[in-house]
Amino acid sequence: MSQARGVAIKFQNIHKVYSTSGSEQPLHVLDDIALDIPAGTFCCLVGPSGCGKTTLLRLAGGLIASSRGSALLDGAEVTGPPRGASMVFQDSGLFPWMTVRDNVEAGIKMREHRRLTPTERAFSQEQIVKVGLAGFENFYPVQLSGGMKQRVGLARALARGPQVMLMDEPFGALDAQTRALMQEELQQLWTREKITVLFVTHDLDEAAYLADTVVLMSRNPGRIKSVINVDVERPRVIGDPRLAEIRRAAWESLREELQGVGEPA
Amino acid sequence: MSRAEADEKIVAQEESGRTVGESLLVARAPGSGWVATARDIGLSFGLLLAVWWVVASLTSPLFLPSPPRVAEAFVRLTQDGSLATALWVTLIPLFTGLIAACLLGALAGLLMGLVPPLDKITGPWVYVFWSTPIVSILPIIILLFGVGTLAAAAFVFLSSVFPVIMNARSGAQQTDKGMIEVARSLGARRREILLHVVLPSSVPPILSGFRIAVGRAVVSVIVAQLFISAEGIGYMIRFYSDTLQLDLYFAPLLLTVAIGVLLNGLADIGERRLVRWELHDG
Ligand SMILES: Nc1ncnc2c1ncn2[C@@H]1O[C@H](COP(=O)(O)OP(=O)(O)OP(=O)(O)O)[C@@H](O)[C@H]1O
Ligand SMILES: [Mg+2]
Repeated sequence: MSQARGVAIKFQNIHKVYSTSGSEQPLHVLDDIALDIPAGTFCCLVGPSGCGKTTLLRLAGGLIASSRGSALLDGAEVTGPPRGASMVFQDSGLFPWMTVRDNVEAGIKMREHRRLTPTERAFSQEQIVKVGLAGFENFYPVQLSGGMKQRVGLARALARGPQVMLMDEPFGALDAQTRALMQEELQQLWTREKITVLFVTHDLDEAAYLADTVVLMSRNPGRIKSVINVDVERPRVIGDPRLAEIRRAAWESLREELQGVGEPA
Repeated sequence: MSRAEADEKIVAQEESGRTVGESLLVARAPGSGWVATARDIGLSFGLLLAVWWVVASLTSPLFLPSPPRVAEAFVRLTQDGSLATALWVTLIPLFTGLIAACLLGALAGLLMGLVPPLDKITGPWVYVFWSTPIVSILPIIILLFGVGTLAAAAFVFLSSVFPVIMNARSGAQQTDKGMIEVARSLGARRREILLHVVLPSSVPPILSGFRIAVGRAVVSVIVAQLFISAEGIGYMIRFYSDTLQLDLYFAPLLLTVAIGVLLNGLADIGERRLVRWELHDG
């Protein structure tokens, strides 16, 4: 899975217009988004609030349809939630009525529409261990901290053995320390698994630290403004001056988009 | 423990005539769960009993018989078997009506919540029925079902089914859209979304519907017997109050309260068991 396979996620001139109800004008959210994300790379999507990052992610995840253009995952046009993709949500998206184990296994169960095989069950358990939640299998989400919930969400995503992970501000709701820890762990994890990741964040430091490429968006309508490559070998260290330089460049590019909105992160 | 708290504690002990380890004002000590709960309940009822006794001793026994006299009446009615018969005659319509209301109500409510066209038509009916003072339909029930067990069961059903329907309906309608989206992203089909998302997230509101139904069912079985039956606990209550035998009147009344408390307690336990994922954080 780790050898070069070309482009894993491809956005082909995507437009998205939300037809709002009533007298309001239809909302042109995404305007001609064209982007190739090479297989096995980590891409961070950054932009002002409302520029359509979540919309783009939901398009790639097959949850909504584009108005024009198409999204391709491993060369196949996305028409519904793809088998090879896993989404991770800001609020963790765990089912409160399921235990940690059931939540993780649901990632396979709902895709296959059947009970898990012993192999799949063992694989799910491995992911729980991998994210550091061994011993918490029978806990319910209410019993977990925010960081632990995100780990469960991550374990569920990994249990599907995805080629592509679509992550929407997964650490956005965490406190600074937990977030830093999760970023480190995600970097380690990604280095091992070599999954293609499309990761939405508001945090420029986070983007610089995690990404191979940082994609900056502008809004009204949402367009890709610039793409910054982060050529820093891993493992990276938080506070690396080269990352600070990337952050500065990204901020320069974003600044004009954010007039009156304030600095993100 | 402050001085005032200590004083309170002594007062409480004296009034309840029991020895207790803790004041009413202090939260239950953790770790001693069962025993502590039983003790607290005992204390609470002891206090109530004490107040009753005091009030009874200050007023004419014609209005409020004292606890020992009621106990005596209770024993008498138990020994001659009339209380047991009345209990039996009451429990049958209570349970048939209540169980039917819970099952059919949950089913109907979920269907309404899941099928908007159905809801458009039947929704207003439910509102109308729920807003109708249910006692006012007793005459119709008597016309349709007579004055026996069936009539009482029907009345229990009608007075307790609507809260269940309403709760199941809004439970199904208010299923978190985010949760449905997560299930979709995982690849779930319609049936799976229904079974693994909509249904479980509707369980808590349905259970609170059951809670309301239990309360209404107990009230309405007694009301039905008060008004229409010549048997059962409700009838006993009416008979002894009409004939001003208040000690005998209190016995079935207390039994009714006991049934209500018991059923509510069971509903509580059931809720805790079924919705572990919400209450586990305590
Ligand atoms: N289902 C919808 N119907 C109509 N408009 C929508 C819908 N979803 C999103 N929008 C609008 O589309 C625009 C982009 O939303 P989106 O959630 O993609 O932004 P975002 O970049 O993820 O923002 P944030 O950083 O705040 O999460 C917003 O103006 C939003 O109001
Ligand atoms: Mg968003």
